[in-house]
Amino acid sequence: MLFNSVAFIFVFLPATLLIFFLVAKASRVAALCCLTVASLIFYAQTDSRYLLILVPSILANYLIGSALSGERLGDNGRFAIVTFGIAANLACLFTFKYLDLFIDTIDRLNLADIGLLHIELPLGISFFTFTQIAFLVDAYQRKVSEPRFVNYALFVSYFPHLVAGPILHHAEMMPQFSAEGTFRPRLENFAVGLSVFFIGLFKKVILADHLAPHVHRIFDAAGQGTGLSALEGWSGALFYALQIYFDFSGYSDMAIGLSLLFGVRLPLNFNSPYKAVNIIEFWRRWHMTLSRFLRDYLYIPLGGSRAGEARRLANVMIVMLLGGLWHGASWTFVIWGGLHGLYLMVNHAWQMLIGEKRTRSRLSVLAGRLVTFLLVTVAWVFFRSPTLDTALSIAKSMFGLGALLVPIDPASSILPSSDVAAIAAAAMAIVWLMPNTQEIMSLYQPALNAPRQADTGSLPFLWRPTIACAAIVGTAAIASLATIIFEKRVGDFIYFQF
Amino acid sequence: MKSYLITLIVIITTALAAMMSLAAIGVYACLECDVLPFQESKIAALTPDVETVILGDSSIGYGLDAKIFSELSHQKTVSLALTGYNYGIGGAYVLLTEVLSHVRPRNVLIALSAQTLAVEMSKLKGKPIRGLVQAARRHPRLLFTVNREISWDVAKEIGVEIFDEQLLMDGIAYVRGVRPVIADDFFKYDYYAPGTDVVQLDGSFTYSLGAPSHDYDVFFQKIARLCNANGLNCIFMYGPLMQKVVEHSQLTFQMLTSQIERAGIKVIRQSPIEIPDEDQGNTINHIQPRLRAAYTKKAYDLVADSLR
Repeated sequence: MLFNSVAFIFVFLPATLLIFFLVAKASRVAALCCLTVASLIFYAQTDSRYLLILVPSILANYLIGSALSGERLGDNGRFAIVTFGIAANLACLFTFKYLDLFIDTIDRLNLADIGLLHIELPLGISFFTFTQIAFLVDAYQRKVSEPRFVNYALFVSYFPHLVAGPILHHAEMMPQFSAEGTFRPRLENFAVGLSVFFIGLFKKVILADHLAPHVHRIFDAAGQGTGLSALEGWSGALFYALQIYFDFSGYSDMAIGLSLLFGVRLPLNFNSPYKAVNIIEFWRRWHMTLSRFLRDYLYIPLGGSRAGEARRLANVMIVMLLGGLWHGASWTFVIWGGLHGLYLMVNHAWQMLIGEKRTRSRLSVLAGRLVTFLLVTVAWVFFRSPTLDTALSIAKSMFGLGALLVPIDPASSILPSSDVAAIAAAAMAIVWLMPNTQEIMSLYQPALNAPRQADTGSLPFLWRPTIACAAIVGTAAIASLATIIFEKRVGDFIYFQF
Repeated sequence: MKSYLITLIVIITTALAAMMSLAAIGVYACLECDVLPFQESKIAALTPDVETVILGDSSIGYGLDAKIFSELSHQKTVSLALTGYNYGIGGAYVLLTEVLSHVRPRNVLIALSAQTLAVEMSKLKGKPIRGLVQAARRHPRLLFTVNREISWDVAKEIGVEIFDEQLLMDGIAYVRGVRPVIADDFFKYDYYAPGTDVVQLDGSFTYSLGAPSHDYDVFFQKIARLCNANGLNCIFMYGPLMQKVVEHSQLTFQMLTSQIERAGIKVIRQSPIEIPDEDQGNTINHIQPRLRAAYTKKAYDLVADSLR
């Protein structure tokens, strides 16, 4: 089920809210059970067979986590258990996500002749696997423990984050699932949560989904061997940069808004990444909970920056390559990760050379943003392309290698129509000139770990529960809902495929 | 927070309700309904001297010329043929109701292709229900008084249509003053402009129509009741049909005839007027346009004795 579907917005969500708060009056445990069951129903709507993976995964990780939290095992036993738990999770992820890539690679290298298994990727497997690995490691380090199965099951399956994140830490969620305030409906949570949800819905439905067809045309044409001009190549890459931004940003807002309706704050996952002045900052703003996971559970265990600069740069590259692979079973994702690894290495090396300047001129900020955005955009080409050949074809056209600057015949060119170009221009202006949702809502802090706004008075838009704000949010909601209901335009979220 | 939430919810629900209302107006406007507004305009212009009304589908729309029929029968005749799968017998029922609100003709000739009546409604992807909603948009009571199954299907169809983008646009256009435009061809041919090409059937085509559907029985019953209540001479004839299909579908006609007569409508002949290969039009139940007069005569000869 998609957050941007009629069934979710008008049936699933109201029904789940109503049942949760009604049941909570009688019993909190029963309310959490209801929310867990609702989350599983939400998950099963896409394909009920996926429950056969999710539910055993929750059960197994809960048992392993309980063993790690107990006092009966010695250090060696606990280490063996956590190693087994992590390995089992990774094996499950490997089987469902990477086995076909592995077989395909072996076949291509003529090492063996094994047919592809065509294993279907269960929705959200990367997210719930990482969430549970983090839990096991934290339990092993005795940072967390969870004796209540229902709470644990809800922590993993909680529908606002289940299929596309954010990747949660047990420690930041469990106190909220136990807090008394969570079980009482609060007008403030409804007002702020609905507003954040509708802002996210607008980003997804009106911005991202309107840019998607042009992106599809460009990448499809390149995939079929059509020679693109530089202008067409750049239009595809830039439009995709905007599409994925608003798709993921919209999803993240919707997840935060939905969760807040239940009185639970999710961690911030997206913080105006295209405003980053360098690639290091980009990764502090894009998919923040994945960056946090990779830092805490991969980069630091690898040695982080403690073993010298060369090792640090190597660690960065390893983390980014694996981070790329986490997104999908394709070498294009590895190249995408490798490109970002390279960018980060250069960025770190640059900072070592000149030192990290604390004050920057407006011009250097602008130049930094522009360069960062362009580098990220080039890398997106590999992220979006279904094959390496497609990616290379578009990349070549973007850099004018064997391609014309503009199409010879404008009539047969694959350039965006003027209205779509206008949406892209507006989207670009929003990205660079507007405050983000968290900044707009900063008086009410709808997400965890959101950076505190030093001076809210300097923001051009600040949400308050006024009629004017209701009119603006209401207009955005109507535009989005009308598109969903009347145009029947319900696009998948890009991050659902990971 | 309370006033904010109330304002937000009111804005959203009002706007959505307004859009749904506009889509409902779009259904009423019927800007893309082609033949339906044309036939409705003829009903609106009916005078009391009309004696015979012909209801049916394209087999009779193309196969019968009302002027020639009037001359042959010496009775003022009006053809109100719609199309088969889109309107069929349901559309005929609604048009007859509308006719009766204007005039009381002596004869009502219902002429439908057996091909139309042999296909279950569920296999037509909602077309007959959509057509029924269109035809009965000015008589909504008719939509929910056929039977429970039809009422349920109509409710589902309306549920879809009030969220339809094109109907929303049509509703906005109607509010702005746009009205259905009836193409000149309708006035010229008293129906759609006919095509001169000939149907090409592939090897997989089965000439036997198979068992008839019972989905349409209820409409025949409704028409029969209307005819009895208003003292009309209502008769049924099959629209012209490809000769080979007629030869292979005798059992279908026998069963269909039995169903229609059980509903209370007299069937003129248990078999359709056959279309030989040389007369075949662009579907198995269409004739070549040049033969319209000849087939009108055939139809007249068939029903002449049954007309009052």
